[in-house]
Amino acid sequence: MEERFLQLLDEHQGILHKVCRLYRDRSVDREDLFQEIVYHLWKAFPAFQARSKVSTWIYRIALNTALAGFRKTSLPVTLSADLPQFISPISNDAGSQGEKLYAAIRCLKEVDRAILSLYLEEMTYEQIGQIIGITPSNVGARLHRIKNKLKTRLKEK
Amino acid sequence: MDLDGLKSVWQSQEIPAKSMTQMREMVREGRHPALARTRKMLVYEAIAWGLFLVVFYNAFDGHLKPIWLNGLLVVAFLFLLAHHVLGIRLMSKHKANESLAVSLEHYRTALKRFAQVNFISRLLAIGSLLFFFLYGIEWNTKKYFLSAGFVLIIVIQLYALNRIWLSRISDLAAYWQEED
Repeated sequence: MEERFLQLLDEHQGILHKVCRLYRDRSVDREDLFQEIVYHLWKAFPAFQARSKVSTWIYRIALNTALAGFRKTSLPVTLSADLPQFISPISNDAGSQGEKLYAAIRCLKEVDRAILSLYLEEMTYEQIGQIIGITPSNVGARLHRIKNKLKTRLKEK
Repeated sequence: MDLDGLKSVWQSQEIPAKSMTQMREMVREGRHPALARTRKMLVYEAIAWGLFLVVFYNAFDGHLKPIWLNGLLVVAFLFLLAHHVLGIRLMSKHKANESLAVSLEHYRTALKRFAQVNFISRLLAIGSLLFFFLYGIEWNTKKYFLSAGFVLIIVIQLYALNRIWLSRISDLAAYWQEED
């Protein structure tokens, strides 16, 4: 069973990394959260009967773990009004765009982050609703509002 | 960045992959950093209070105090330690395979109950400890002030503890509040 679980985890570990990056600011906290999610997945694995997709099951437990955990308050970040002297040569590549995206998503409320991440994973409103526990129409309404907010955030950056 | 491009940026992000060996270690060792920290704290606290329970009878003149007061102190501290163990069980309870809304509501209810019992167990332990030391002493003005100072410190501590729990519980409720 352990090997089957590890295989599954290996195939879907991207989900865990994404959830950790969405809900924790510091790398040490992300590492802690990663381990906590693995712990809860492993404990829940014997009861997993593949009625839902593996990714849905993993997302459900990962989000539950991330939102139920107590976070240490991050240190306040002070932003300078001056432009930086040096511009990173990789500032326009996919990594930088991804950083921008994650930074914008982290400004959203916790549940909105979850809804948006599931949407970005190409899940249907029905699937998102099942994971979050709201109706598909509510998912649509929330997503509309989230997209507008995100658009504004990304324009600001 | 265009909103249409969000999905491709999201999906094309490079993921820092963990090796099978790292994940195997996590599974085998049952790593849960928050749980491990709490367990460690519980062990330290259990040792400290355990030592206290072993020595208090002789060291703090327990034999000169009524038996019910000695009993109260022992029961209060055993209750506190038992409650800590329940806290670990609450943290390690696996995240149920239910929706986020339902699961977090269950968790909030459990946390609320835990916080209430936590408050009572602390109050009982600190109260009985204070009562134990103050029982049968000869009062004078200095002792009145000292005792009042202790009581004030305890009240402040309990108030702070209560605030921490209330904020944790309200954080969980706030997840579902819509923003303007």
